[in-house]
Amino acid sequence: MANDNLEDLKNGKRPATSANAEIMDIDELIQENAEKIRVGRDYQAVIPKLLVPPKNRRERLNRKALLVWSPTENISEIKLNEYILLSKEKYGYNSEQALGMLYWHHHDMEKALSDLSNFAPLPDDWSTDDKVTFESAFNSIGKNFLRIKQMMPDKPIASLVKYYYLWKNKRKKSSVIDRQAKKLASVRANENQNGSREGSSSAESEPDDKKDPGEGSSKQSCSICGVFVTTLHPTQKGSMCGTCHTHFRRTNGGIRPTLGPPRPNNRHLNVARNKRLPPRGMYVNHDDLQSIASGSNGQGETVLSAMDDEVVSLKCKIQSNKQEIGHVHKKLKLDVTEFRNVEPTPSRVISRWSNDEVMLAIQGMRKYGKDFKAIAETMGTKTQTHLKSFYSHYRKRYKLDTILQKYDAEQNTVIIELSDDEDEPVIRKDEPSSTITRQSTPSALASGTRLINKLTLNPKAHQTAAAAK
Amino acid sequence: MSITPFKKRVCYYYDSDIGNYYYGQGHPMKPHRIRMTHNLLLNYGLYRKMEIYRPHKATAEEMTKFHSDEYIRFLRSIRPDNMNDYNKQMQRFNVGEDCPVFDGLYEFCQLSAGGSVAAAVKLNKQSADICINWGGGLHHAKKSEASGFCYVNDIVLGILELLKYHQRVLYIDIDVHHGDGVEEAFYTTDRVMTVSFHKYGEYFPGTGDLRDIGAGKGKYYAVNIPLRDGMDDDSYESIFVPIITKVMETFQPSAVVLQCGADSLTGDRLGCFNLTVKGHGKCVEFVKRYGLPFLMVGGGGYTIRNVSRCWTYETAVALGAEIANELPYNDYFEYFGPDFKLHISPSNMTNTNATEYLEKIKNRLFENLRMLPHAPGVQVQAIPEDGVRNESEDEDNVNPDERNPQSITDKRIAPDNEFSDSEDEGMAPGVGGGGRKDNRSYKTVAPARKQARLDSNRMEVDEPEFNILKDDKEDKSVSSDDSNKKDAVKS
Ligand SMILES: [Zn+2]
Repeated sequence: MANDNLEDLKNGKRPATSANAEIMDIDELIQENAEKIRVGRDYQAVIPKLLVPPKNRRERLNRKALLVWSPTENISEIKLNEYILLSKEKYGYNSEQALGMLYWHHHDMEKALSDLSNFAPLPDDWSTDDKVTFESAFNSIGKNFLRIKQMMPDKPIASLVKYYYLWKNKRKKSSVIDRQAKKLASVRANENQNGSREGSSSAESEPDDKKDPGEGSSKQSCSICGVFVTTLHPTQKGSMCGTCHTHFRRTNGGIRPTLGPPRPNNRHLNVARNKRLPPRGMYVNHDDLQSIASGSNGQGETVLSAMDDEVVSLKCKIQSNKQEIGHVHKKLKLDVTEFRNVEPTPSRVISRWSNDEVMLAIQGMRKYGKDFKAIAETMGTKTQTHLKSFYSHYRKRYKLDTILQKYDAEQNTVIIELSDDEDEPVIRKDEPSSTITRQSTPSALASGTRLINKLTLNPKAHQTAAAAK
Repeated sequence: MSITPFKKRVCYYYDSDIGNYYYGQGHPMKPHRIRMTHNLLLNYGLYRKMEIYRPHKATAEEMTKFHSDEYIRFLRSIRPDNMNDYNKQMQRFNVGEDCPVFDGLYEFCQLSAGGSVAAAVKLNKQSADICINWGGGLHHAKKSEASGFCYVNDIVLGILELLKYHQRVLYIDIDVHHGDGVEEAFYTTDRVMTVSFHKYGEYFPGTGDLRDIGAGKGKYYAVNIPLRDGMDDDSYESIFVPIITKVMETFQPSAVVLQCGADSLTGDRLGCFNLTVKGHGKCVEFVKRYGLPFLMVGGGGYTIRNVSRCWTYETAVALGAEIANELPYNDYFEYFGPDFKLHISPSNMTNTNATEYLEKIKNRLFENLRMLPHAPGVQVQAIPEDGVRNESEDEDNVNPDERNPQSITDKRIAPDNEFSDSEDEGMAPGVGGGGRKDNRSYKTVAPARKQARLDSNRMEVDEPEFNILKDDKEDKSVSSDDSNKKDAVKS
């Protein structure tokens, strides 16, 4: 587990003789002068005698390691999750601490719950000043924690390292946002030229909730700030979201000023203003901004950290929903296979092509590319083989290759990724979007995909994220 | 508390400080990956399915069970601010370049070693089926020398602990580098077989030739599988499975240690193989099926997002739990972008290991294994997961160490067959399905285990211990007459 590759770490001590990369025969592989295992008292371990298992097991074992959690089957997963959530939201425990408490009380949930308030998890001992100092030290010195420590003598190196890794994670988060902002800016530029944004966002991974307010969504948008919400408050000035409505009531009918994009219906009139706005999908709540700016010391931070918490809990939700979708998807796939085996369809399959079928096949290729299996499944009246020969026969006539090219273009986008180590950008070809699974089984997936869209595009998450920046 | 049938009792060793040690700027070894793994498996809900231990810090006394006193004394005293006073010793112990002096170095070694030793003790007590210490696996460390980012060899210390109650221990190493430290430590003994799969040829550490097979009593007890660049999942499985099968058959260990170095994964910063997380995990799955007391340790792994993916997945494999491909949100979520998935795809690098080449290696190694004193007619084989059965046990949920320690493992493992053959069928399909005809000495706990199984599934703690003593004496008297090299208990 060491390396030969890095120059600075090269350990010239153990050179290996040259070897050909194409060696096929093991005799060639055998190297004369190769490094050998050393034999002698200085190298081998002294093998212990085989013992009789000790009688006093308990006594000996307890010294070795401290048990902090042990699994139990007396508490259901659901109950355990509820408990963890409660201890997190109400008392600020992380799940490890919460489980520790439960174990301490011998898995007695009630006792643990009542004891939660008696302890306060250690608060984050990094003040804003610390964080700023760290960041500027890091930017000038780099990852030399010994030297950073000289600038922050009250922090042990362990604490610096720990903070560094979390901070790095956060920093990436912002770079993701920057990336998205850039992408959207260019999309918007195109939009201005074309006056249409059709197809431009299909490959975008995240914050874009605005494209079709009605489509597949049970949420409605606020007429003031455009945020999607489940409950709207109707007023004589239009339906409003909770925040706008509160402002409306407090100010006796005033319209809440927003920094977010203007209402959908007059958006195209404000192209110039758009340029100074945060990326689409991000909204800044004016009230919050004001309280951050004018509030007494610490109040701003409280607002921000509350928003951070909200972002985290929304992200948790997103991921667990994705897991759920993945699970359902897998099940569906299995079910489809089962179904397919039970009911063969040869009777319905005729080799002659009707006009409708031709249309369907072409549209199928638009949607699934060369995944003939998926297309065959959609059509139901032609097999995969039929479609393959259809493709080779009518390739020219229907310009099928153009369709496929278009499909490929939509599927592949270049995503820039930061390598986890040296922060060098790595260009990597990837799936169209980080969140959407490639569609392979048509009907099952179509609904699943839409679901994902709805989840990832939760406008509230972006609103808070933007405000937190 | 009861244990679900078919599920393994898994103990996991972790210290929350371990991620805070830092080898230095630009150094590829990042203990932080262990914390990332921990956080990921916590958020996957795997944490709550295991016993979680915070390991003790191994003492100098414990570490000198293998390492030399001087070397440990040196490790204990060296610090970044006094290293100029130690120039000579640093050279002698190979500390400074690959193995830098960093803040908290000694504590880091203590935690890593403490985990593996505690895990071995736990297995010896038979109060766990599988123990995991991702902070361990530092397989290059030598008796008096640091090497390849490793200072204290937690694996050797763990195996030495296991050897107290196990006649034979098998060590398997799937790190991309040769497990030279462990091999060297046990090069001349027949009680530990070391099996290492590694890249060989112009590669660190340079050892691990096919012809290196051990020395003295330990001849044929070191097995080296030298491989070339680009090993993929299929090739790896095609060599791993037959070799481990044959090793299990001929060596018949009563405990296994698996070093799960993740630098054999595709895209590793230092590695050159092309394994996916699934392919890597298959090795764990395969070894687990034997149902032997099983210690899993970490090791190399330098593309840390993949290391934590891999070890999280392997923790799930150990537990027999299925986990979603979508990662749960966690403290280090952004490290896993852009896909945020558990599994990774292989790259398009060429696999320079031809099938014929692998076949030749395999046959050469089979020849060597045939030289081992073999138990005729004894068939050992991996068994399917669902064939493993054990009864649920009532257990004390307060202190797991006070649970009936043997009953659970006993029902699965029947490594010896002194009593009867039919007994085992359908009940304990683990190791040793056939009649054992040679009378080499077997590990002393074996008779007790057997007794436990015969004892209609339930047994009291005191009773079998009485039996252990009695049977053990008989067993020893047999073995002392036996000229077979297997009975060697060094004095
Ligand atoms: Zn390695």
